[in-house]
Amino acid sequence: MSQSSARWRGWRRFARNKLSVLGAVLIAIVFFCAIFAPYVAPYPEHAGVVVNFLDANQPPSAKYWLGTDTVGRDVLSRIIFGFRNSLMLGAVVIAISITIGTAIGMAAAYLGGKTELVLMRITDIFLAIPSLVLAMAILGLAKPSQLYAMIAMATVWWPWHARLVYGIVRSLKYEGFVVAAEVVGASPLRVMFSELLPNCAPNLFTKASLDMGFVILLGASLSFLGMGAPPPTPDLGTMVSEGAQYLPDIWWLSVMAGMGIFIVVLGFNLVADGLRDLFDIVG
Amino acid sequence: MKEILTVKDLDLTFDTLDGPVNVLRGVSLSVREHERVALVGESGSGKSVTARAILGLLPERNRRLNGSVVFEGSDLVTERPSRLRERRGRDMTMIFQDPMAALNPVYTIRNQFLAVLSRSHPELNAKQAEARMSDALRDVSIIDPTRVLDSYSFQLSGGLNQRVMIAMGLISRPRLLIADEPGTALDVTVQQQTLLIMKRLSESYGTSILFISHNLGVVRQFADRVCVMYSGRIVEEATTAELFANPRHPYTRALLASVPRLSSDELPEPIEGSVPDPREPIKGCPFKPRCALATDDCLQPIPLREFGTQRVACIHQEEFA
Amino acid sequence: MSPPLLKVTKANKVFHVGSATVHAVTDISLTVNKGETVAVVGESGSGKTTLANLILGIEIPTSGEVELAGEQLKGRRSKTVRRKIGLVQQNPYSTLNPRKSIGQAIGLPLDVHGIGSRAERRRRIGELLEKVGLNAGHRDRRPLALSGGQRQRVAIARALTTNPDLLVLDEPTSSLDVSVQAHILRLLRDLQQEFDLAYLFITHDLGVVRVIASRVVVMYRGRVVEEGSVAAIFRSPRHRYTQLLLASIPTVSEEDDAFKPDWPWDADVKGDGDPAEGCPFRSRCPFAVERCGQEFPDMRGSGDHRYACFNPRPETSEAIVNLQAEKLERKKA
Repeated sequence: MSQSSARWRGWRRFARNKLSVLGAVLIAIVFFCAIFAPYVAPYPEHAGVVVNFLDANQPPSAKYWLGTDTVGRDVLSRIIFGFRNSLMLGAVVIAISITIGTAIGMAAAYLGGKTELVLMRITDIFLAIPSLVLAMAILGLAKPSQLYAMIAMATVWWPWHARLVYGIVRSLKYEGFVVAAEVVGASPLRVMFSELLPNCAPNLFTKASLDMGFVILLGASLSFLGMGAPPPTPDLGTMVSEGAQYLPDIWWLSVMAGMGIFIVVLGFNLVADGLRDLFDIVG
Repeated sequence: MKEILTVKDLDLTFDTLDGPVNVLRGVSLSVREHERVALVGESGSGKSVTARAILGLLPERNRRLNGSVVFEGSDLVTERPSRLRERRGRDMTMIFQDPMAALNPVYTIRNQFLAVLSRSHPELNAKQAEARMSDALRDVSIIDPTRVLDSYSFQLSGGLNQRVMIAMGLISRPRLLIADEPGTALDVTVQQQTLLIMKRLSESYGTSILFISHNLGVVRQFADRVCVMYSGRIVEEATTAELFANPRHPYTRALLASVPRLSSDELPEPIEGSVPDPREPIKGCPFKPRCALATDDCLQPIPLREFGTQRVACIHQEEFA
Repeated sequence: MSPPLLKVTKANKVFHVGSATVHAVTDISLTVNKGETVAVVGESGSGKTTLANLILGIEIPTSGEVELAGEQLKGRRSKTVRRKIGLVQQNPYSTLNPRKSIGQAIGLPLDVHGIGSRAERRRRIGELLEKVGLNAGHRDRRPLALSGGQRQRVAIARALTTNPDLLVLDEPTSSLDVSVQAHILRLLRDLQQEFDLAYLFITHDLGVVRVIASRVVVMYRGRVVEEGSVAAIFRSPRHRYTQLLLASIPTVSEEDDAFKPDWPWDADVKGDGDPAEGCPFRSRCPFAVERCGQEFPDMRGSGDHRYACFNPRPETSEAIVNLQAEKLERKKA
């Protein structure tokens, strides 16, 4: 069995899982909207500061598919731009936390001894504090902005990646191929990054996909609490939060933005499930 | 003597994403009363799968199983699962390769042994059960049964655990014991001892044994009759004495030639080529691509032919006569 | 006379596990000369893997010395030393990184030591693959696509990359089918002749030792209990443990049976547990005498056959040796 056929089998497994395919489609749509937001959105200018009281508080209609908000901006357009924001937030947070988490988990597991003890206790401390509380505490030190929100969330998130990598490397560090590299005289850095890291990658990808949804959700929670991106940036969490004041009369504000979050989170979670199967078979 | 297990034309295919994988291609074998039969072959020959098929332990999904497995008059392939479970563990028991993995480390040996014992002898009271277990352990040459019963599997050596497994496997005085590579995970000296104990007990209890092994030498010491498997088929069957004195199938001969010998310091002969892919259909003899005697006639279906008590799936038998 | 290629002198390795002290190897001495195969035989817990680790520099001996070509190896090993010793491990399924190609696996030592340009490395990898009976086309494949025997060939190729003088072979055929084992044994012999390699062949299988090694060291619970030429030890094992090991070989013919010593399988022995004092084998030894419980015997015997036993097996009599020869003659005839 050749390598390409193994990969092909993986894809077929992925494809057989109907839900993961659905997830992939959802994500593809979201990405498409986010990238081409100015062209996809019916009223791209509504992403910014636009006041159009004539059309304020319109329920979903043929003109405004998902209705308008209290200043007359198209909700659909704002959700589409909101995707952009959410995806960027998720990607940045996960990139930072994977980098930090992998470095710490890998060093702790592979080097062992005191390094392991210190690094893993620090990780445990971070894990012991509820993530929303920790993120809020960090944000409490600065005035709300997208950048600070991302830093706060990465601080909350890396310990999970550290734990994951730590577990994998612990189980692999006595494998034959690691010993073989050490005997040849490979440096610890080479063993960690060239031999061990590729074996962590599938799990990291799967977890990243799963986390994408949760990070976006956490981001939305922070925005909801007024700690995310300040107005007028279209942010799904902020939209839910603002709309909540007008429930239940102007219901579409919160509900539609909430649906937007739901679609992104669901999509990433479903794909993560399929990725697990995919990497399971690709050796 | 009466046959207690008769496997006939067992054919097993798993449907995978890459298409069907033909694991067993018409396996027929029998075990008689008081007989030890060995199923010997290399990895991928289908010997362990055969054992699992007999025990009804194959996964249900994407499986096509044809043929019959008749154990004391009832066909296990069509038997109800509940009835099958009942017989398995009482009339037909099993021992696996790694005793450490088969025993649960969170329960004492006593707890696990009691669970096994109460299935076959629910009528025993605590005192009787204890006496029964101690006797069984003494039978497998364990001098201090009480200490062993009090222990957890991780506190005992591999050899002791294996002997405990044998005692458990035989406590119900089964008609048939299926042993899948017993002792392979153990040190050679311990393995030898274990086999001797198993052999002695099978004789004194009258238990038949179907013995799965990859090791020709072990088979030679243990079994009365040997079936050699290759690529999902039995290619040769004979009494142990006959098989080792006069191996007939080219594969059996090649396999024997690949064992290092004490009587010679020459390197053993490897078998060229590799085992056929079970995903590919095989025409005729599966050993043909690796066989020096092969001719075009080998592409025909090859039935097992009888030579005295020996059965061989090879058309080139006159050459050996 | 030039010094032996590998010389281990009175090596000890003590591990501290919690409050317990484990003597993994005790006073091990052995030598391997250029181009010869020395087998180290023992079962699990015999310390043979620890011995390999001391030689490979994975572990540092608690006391004692390891010398390579007359040079004492201490502390961190230099790259020059590392190039001279190759390793082939037991498990073909763990020895290759599943996420790297065969070429990357074999090229690793070249990468680490910075040997050759990209093109040169590529050529060398192809060359090595041919040497071990594969072909250059295997370079870009993944371990997953290879059989156990093929993986073991790749592991051997990797060990040869830096042109070592010594290969430590840690149960290289134990996980393989016997017909595949025969291939690997032949490959090892051919490579040894071509490159004048020395092998330290670690195994639990005395049957393999007979055909591949010239000298053998038998270990039990971290100590050498018998050592000598393969011919001498197989003809006349003296230590009771060696006797048991030989008697346990599952032979496949009557001729082979004639070469197996007897063993009193039914004799009562205590069985489990390791005695702290004296000979560690005595709890399993029906021949143990009182002294066995008091001290570990010194090595006795001479030159090419030494053993540590107070009540050794008597030398195999001429009569039996003649009988063995006769059996063989009959077989050949």
